[in-house]
Amino acid sequence: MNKLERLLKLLTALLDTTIPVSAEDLRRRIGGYPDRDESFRRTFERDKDDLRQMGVDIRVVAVPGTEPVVDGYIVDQEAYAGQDPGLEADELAALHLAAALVRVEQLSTDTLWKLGGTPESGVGTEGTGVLVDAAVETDLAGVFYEAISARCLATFGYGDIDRVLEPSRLSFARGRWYVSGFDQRRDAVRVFRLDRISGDVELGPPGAFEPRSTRGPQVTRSWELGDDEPVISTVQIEAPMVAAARIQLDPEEVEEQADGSIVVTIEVRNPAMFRDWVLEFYDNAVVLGPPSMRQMMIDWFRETVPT
Amino acid sequence: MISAKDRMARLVAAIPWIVAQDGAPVDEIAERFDYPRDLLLADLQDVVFFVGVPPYTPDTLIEVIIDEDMVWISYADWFARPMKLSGGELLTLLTAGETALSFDNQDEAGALARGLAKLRLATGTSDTIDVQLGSIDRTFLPVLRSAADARLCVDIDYYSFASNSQTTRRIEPDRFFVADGNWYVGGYCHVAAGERLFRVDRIHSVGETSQTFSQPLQEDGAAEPRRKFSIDEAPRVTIALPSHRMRVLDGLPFDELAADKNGELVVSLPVSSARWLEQLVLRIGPGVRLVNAGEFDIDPADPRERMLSRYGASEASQE
Repeated sequence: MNKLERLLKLLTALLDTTIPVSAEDLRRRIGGYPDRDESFRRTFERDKDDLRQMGVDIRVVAVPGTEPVVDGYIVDQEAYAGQDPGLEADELAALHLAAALVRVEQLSTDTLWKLGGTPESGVGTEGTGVLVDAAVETDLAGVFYEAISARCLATFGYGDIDRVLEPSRLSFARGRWYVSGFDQRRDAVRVFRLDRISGDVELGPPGAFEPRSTRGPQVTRSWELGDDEPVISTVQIEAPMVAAARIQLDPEEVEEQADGSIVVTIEVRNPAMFRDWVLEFYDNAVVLGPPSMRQMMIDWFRETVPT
Repeated sequence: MISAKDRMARLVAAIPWIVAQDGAPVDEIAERFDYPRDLLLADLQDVVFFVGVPPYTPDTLIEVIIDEDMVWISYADWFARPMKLSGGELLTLLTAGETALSFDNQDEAGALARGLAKLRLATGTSDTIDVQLGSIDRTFLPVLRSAADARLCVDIDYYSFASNSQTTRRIEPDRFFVADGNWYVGGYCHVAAGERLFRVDRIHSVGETSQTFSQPLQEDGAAEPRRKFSIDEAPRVTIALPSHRMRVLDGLPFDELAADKNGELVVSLPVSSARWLEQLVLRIGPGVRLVNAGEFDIDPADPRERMLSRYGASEASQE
């Protein structure tokens, strides 16, 4: 039996069962494995590794009723198979085009095969002539995606505090991933920047919470990522930086001035992040109020005594 | 030769697709899944045909029928649906799709938008994942993209942070990238007579021109590689900062970062202009030290005084 046939039969056997199956049982069911025990074990381990590298989640669970415990293997059909999105040929071609145009980490051809392969030869690479580099790291975001999908509680360290989150939304904005959800320790909806999470993220068992009606804010702006009471603050931004500033602002937060500048009115929950945001515009931005925020800026400059 | 594992990946994707189509031409399957025709036929006839569950009698095996140039597959319930996209794959695909959507200014009812909507619906992510690679006014990006595709120069009104001034430049747009949520266009700048990068949100207008550009040819007729601006060429400075201000360095390229025994960080990094360096000093704030300003002749106290003056709290005027 060649390796391809063995892999296909192994996956079939793991998908066909509802109770974990031992290695020996799989050996009998599939056939074609080496006769010598040591060779079998090596080949079986390699086969499992190959399937796992393809993204197959082979769970290892004790075979029921065994003493001493014997490891059993199983693949959950629901975890294995996705819903076919039913893409039309032009939609699939457009996704291919996007994948060819935008160079994002981790996007492999295997991903597109799962959606139905390449509809036409060369689609996505001809005529574009332009490539967008988008360095997007998705490892940790992928973990939170799984947590959102399976409704797992996520426990992690953030700002020296351990958080227990019912994650409900992932957002990618301004080059960063954010997760929002209900923070059980704070008893409130919170947003967290993934690259600020310290240590590992631990996921609890699936189905640990019911989705809440409040999914958390969609827009994640640095000055809103805090636990402080909101302070209405105003900033004047000069004309050269208006376009850059508007990216993060809602139209109703912006009041245009005759000289081309804008006056921005926003709710600030994190004064330090607000200060850092204003400083991105350097001398093109001045905090107008309230006095406490204005004084914060003045104190910052006074205490900055570079040598 | 394609490895067994790679053929396996193709087969578990192709089988559900063939089943869903209720039969498909061999050539189309080979094309879609990048599967050499002869190898595909051999694997279908000699491998898939024998896959099933014990006792491996005909009624427990996958049925493969190949008739002339068509393939039908049935009794393949284990592979009736394609493998689920992993979290990373889905997020990456959504990122690429949403980026292309903003880049091309495509119709919201267009194929890409519909494809993304279906993908979100099938994966239950319609309201749980929000991707904005680089939020931006979509006016200029598609124009720049079209010009790049057609190899046409454009005239841009551009605000230069370094010089704190707005100038009109003719550029040859030939590449794009996104970093920290900001879109950049790169290309030859006729004013600077060299390769430059421009932040798209600092472009105030784009004028199309009929002037074409092309890369000079080498002796062998191939396009000569454009000499792109390299960050290695930028002058270096060394700055010390308190460790709790490290987040200011987020997204900035640096050569070396070291922590000394006092908990102070010392970083060596490329700097594009004196004005940018001044701003960095203020963003780091209290505790900043300019260890080595390199070729930049700046008085570190100037930016501080300038900002205090903007707030009407100038110390110079009080003395």
